[in-house]
Amino acid sequence: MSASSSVFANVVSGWIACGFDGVTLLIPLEDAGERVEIEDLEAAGEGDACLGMIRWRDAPWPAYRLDRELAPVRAPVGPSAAVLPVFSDRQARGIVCDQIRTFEHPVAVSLHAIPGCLRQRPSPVIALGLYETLRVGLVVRGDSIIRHLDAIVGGRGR
Amino acid sequence: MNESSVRAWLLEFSRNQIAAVGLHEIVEVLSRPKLYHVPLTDARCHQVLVWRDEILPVVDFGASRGANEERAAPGGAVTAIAVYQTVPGEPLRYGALELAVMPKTISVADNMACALPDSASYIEDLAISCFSYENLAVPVIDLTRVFEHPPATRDD
Repeated sequence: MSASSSVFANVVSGWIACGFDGVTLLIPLEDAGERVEIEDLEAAGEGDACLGMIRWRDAPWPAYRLDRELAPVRAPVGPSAAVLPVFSDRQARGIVCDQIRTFEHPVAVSLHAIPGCLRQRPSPVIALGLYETLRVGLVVRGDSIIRHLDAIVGGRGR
Repeated sequence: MNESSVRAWLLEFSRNQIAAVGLHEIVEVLSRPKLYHVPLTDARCHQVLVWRDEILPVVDFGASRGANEERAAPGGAVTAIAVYQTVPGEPLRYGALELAVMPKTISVADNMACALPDSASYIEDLAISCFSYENLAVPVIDLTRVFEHPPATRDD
């Protein structure tokens, strides 16, 4: 386990892996909720960037399908897709995942710093995660991915 | 070859893009390893691979700048694992270079030194010297700059 994994182990009880479009987000369990089925989404507005709305704390929050550059897209979803709610500071967003897996142990993911040549642009990815020995995921926190989505959609998602 | 010659690896990134590194700076060559995309990065450096339980950046000088598309690996494409050190005494670091063909070793002598040609502008911020080999100007690249520095942003 890397030094950064040790730091995360103090605050993270496990991880959720959300896969779509060839990338996998690794999100601490503390920042994510129970999966929501696509058919349970509330309808979104016609021009919205979101696919639909999830409900959390009696309020609707936008759910986005993302491409591999982590930008919202209005692409069709597969039959196995579901929405993973992510939280931060009384806010929620939904992310459409083709696959959702849970790792209920903090060291299931070994954290690695992002190499310098990959740090050209602002990104919600705070580290790279190695899991199941050979798989690489993109580590995000609820606040980092929500800030990123808001920066793209300009707050028009709700 | 005279006594001051040293051995180096000649690296071919694509048909017109070549460079060299020291003999000790390539430690292994992989054939079509699994690559993982990292979003919001540059076309030249947007992937990583897993090697010996470490996640290494993959630099692809053959990728067209500005096109963030997956490289369509041509037949025979290989990935070289390179080793470098940011500061003497610090632990070794590793990175990966996408190559169009297997690297080959060559001998380089002081009298082969030449100026960096205009055609090597894509790599000028990474080159520390240049030499002439078989009528080609071959930049010698600094691997610390290649793997540790974000790609230079250009408008062209």
